[in-house]
Amino acid sequence: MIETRLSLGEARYLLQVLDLKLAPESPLADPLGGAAEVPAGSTAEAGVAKSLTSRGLLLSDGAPNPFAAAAMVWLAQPEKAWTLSLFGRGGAAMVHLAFKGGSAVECRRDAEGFLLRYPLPEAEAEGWLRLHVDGGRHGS
Amino acid sequence: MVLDAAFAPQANLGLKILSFFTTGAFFLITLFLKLCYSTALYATLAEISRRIALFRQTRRPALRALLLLPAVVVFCTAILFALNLWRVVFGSLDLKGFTQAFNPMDIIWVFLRGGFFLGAVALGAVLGLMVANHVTLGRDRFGGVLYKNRGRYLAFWFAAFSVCGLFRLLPWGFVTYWTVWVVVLAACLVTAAHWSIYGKVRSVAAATAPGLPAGGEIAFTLAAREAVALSALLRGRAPRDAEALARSLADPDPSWLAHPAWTAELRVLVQDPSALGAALEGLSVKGLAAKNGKGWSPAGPAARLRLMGFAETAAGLTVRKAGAARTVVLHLQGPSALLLEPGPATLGVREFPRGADAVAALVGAAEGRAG
Repeated sequence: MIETRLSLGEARYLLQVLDLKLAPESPLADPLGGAAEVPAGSTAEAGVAKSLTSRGLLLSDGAPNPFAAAAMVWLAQPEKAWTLSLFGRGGAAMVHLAFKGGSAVECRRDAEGFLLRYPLPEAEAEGWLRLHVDGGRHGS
Repeated sequence: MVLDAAFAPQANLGLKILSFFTTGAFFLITLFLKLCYSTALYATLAEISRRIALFRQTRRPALRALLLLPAVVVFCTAILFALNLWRVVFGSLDLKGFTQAFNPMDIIWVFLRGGFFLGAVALGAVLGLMVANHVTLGRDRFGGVLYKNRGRYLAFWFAAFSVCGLFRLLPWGFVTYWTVWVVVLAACLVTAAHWSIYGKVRSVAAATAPGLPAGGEIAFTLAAREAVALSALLRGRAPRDAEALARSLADPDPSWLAHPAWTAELRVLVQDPSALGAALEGLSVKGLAAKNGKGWSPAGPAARLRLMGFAETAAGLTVRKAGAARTVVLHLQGPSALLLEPGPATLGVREFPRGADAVAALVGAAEGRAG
């Protein structure tokens, strides 16, 4: 499974590069729906592009890594999205699962941005949920 | 004699240099200790402020904070005590006093001072245990431990640390025997109280959840106002009249039966006694509430819900698909599981038989599948 961490700016920039509009079901719609685009040619764009390139999420020609691109497409325009909110002795947690074409991407939001895990076959989604609920039950 | 006279100035100079460096070393050591003490105290005050803000938001105590605070208080008090040990135990008696006139009265005073300090330790411990005894612990709706009477605990906390902080802010000359005595008392009080509360929190947190008690099956659908009224009924143990229930609903922390989207319904029930009465009557018709001479109380399956009290884990699953969203919440406690389906105007509550696959049912219900 691939694990990718993206800041808000990096996620916004990847959406711009891929020319993706956020669907209402998207887990990114709430945090990024009203966010301003990264201005083309700006120092901010250069910084974001440098950060993404250094981690292999952008290729040397400026195109997105195909895996990261697929995850962003699933996240931005999912056929269906789950939001799991957990409360228990271990505290509270919220995690999203966005589905498209038989696969899913897990998305967690934190103060720094997003943590993505993918790909997850749609058939394993219930097992994924069971793992989270049982984990919460044991306080982890 | 001639030799002595010739070497005397050099000896004096050597002594002066030695004295200068000794005084300087002592100054630096004392400064370092004072800085350590001040840093620890300020860090403690910052930590206390942060913990109190967190505590007021969630009403949940952080277990580590319960140990951290007395540890830092004991550390700070020990340093303050060590820096003033001679003065507070031996008073004005100095080393010369020991070597010259051996006054029996001084010895008696030293023992009296030491005895009073032991009294501060004992009194602080007893007071701390008494304070902790009055701190009641309970469960919040998701099984976390909370202090029911947090106001009293916070007042005690503020008072104890204000005393400690006040004595630290006073100039050194002001630190008399009795000020140090009170600081030792406060430190022992804080330590004993936190030690006792820590044990209580651990025992409550480690208690095994019993699950739902045996009784009639829980499977009902409520209108929004009925659900809000039932949430008020489930909070208290004794029967209550409609006015008391309305006051209970005014609390901004509703039970897990009250959907966040029903704030307007909740406000109506608080302000309109007839609306609350109608909701309670509705519950009575469904066999979920009963009225006797003392007031309303839960009945039938609702009485079982009240005995359950809290959920160890609550898992809410929202499925968004084709522009629509559906949320289902699963409450787990021990071997029991409850499925809540909050809609715009209704709340469905369903109990699962022990051993049933509640997670599969959660997915099925959220996806809108039959089952």
